[in-house]
Amino acid sequence: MSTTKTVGILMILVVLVAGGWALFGKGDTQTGPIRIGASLPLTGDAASYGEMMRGGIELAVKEINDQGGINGRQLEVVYEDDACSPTGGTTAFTKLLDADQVSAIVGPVCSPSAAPALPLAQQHHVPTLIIASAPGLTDIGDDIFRIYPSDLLQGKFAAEYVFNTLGKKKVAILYAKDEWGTGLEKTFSARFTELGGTITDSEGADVNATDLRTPLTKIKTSNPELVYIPLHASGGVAVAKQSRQLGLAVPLIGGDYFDTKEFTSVVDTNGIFFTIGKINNSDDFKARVKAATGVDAGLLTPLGYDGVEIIASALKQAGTNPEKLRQAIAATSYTTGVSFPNISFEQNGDLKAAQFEIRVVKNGKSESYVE
Amino acid sequence: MDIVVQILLNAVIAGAIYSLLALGFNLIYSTARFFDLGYGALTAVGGYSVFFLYKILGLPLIPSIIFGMIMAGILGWGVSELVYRPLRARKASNTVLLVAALGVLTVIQAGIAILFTSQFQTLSRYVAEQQTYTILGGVITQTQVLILAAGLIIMVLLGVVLKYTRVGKAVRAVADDEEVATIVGINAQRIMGGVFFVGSMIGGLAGISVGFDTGIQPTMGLALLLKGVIAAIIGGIGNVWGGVIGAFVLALVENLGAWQFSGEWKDAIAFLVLILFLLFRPKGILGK
Repeated sequence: MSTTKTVGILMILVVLVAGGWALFGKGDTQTGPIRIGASLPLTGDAASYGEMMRGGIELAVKEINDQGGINGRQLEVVYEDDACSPTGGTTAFTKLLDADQVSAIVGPVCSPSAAPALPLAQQHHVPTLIIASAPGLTDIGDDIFRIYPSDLLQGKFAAEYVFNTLGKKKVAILYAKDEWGTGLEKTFSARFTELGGTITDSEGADVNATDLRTPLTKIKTSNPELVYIPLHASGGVAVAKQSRQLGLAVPLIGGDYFDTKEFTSVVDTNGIFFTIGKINNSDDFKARVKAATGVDAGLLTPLGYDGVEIIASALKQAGTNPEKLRQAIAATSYTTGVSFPNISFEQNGDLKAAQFEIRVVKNGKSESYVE
Repeated sequence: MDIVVQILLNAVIAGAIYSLLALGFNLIYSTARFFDLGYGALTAVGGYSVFFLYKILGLPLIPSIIFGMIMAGILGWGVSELVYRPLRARKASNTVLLVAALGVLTVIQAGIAILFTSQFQTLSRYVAEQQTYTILGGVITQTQVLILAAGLIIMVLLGVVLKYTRVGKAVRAVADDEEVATIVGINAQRIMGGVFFVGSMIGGLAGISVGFDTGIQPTMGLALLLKGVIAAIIGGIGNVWGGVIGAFVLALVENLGAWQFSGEWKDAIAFLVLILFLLFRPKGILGK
């Protein structure tokens, strides 16, 4: 027998075996555990976000399975590391969708991972609950839902706070030139001018730039009453130092990237404000996470918990049929959550009611700011 | 505040750091004749050494800085002896050396990230404590004046040593032709090692300066290296004075561009200047 023939027969065998496995394998999952995926950054700069989410996810899964699972079936989570990067996102989603054939996905947390990965979930019609905040992600399709407020709302909230509460009418903007920063810049300036305020100057900066003296010099000559700085932590620290050196003595207000130790632990950032989605994180919940998983609950932990809870209750009602599951999630009105008082979705999959708060850096930490 | 004065001062501040980078890079490039990407990571080594000694251990400032420079120097020397020297002995092409240098850059960056995490860290104390000077309505801080002075002193020292001393002549001989220099009795390996040590020390100081001026990150090296290279090419690669002139020209063009257009154009402008020089004046402002 020639080698070509042997190879040909082997190929046919492989196809038959794989085909049979796919057919019967599918049948198996109807009684076996229900798998959901979690695409999180577990390595790299943003690994702490992944770890925070994981604590909440594990607690929810444990509680659900202890109470008998979903209609008798256990819930199982497959974790994939998206490393907060675009290629990481597609790799994680490809594995979750094709190899693990999950019924639903929680994550990504990072917009760069989410942007290329979400179309895959939509193609497979697998409902996905994202935390990533870039506007437009939910427009990818009707299977994408967001359990964290979109940047559109954050920029709008910041504009309203600056104009109405702080009473500043002339504001300059220095923003990070990435999806997040440009999103905030756009929504802030649109809302601020709509309210009647003036944007005296708007300067973009490379995400990694730390010499921001010349943009700040320009901003200073435009005489703003406040500078809005949706920048990452390193750019924020640079602005904190350099604006003071240049004698730009007006209030600074940034976005949710500032709620990290690398920003708040620098003395120069003392007194800088920022906006952030207000997520409840009760002591009772923290204690439950600690008891069940041994980790300390962080900012995003309640979102991991609520994400799984929402999927689980939809699975209980609708089963694993993708279309029924999507409809059940879209109709969610979840009021027993640990993150927000009420999670329900707009037509496009964004959160209906989002709450934000203003925080301020004080003594190396961030704290809630009330006037 | 007069905006033009402040923009010029901003250019001087950025130029001071670029000139340190260009001085170290020029020294290594003109002697070893290959594009040492690993030099970039040594800026981070200098910065993180000071971070460890000055901020974590709480040692005094001056010894921390000196030790940080020595650390960068030793590592630069070690890399040259352990990686580049065997490759050169094997007559490896410049492409091989470039790839090896890329490996060095990546390994050092990863090592720093493991030891100190990838977080952005600052070296300086509270900014309000810092002495600032006002020149014609523009502001410059004491740290920045010191960085500028250090750059100018190193430039003069290097220029004089390379031109007038025996060691300097030996360095230039090795730079011209390593084999001929060896034949006339110069220990080319030792000279090469020394050049890597001193060049890396200067690179380390550049990293420390950046740390005091803004802050440090493990991956800070590549962007800094590229600015140093552009400055060196504008000024005339291998030319001590040219590198410094190139650094200030680059900083001036960048900051004027950021002022007239917008901040995000800074890097694009820097590389556009590089391309223009490569096309129309490849030997730089001063040539060699």
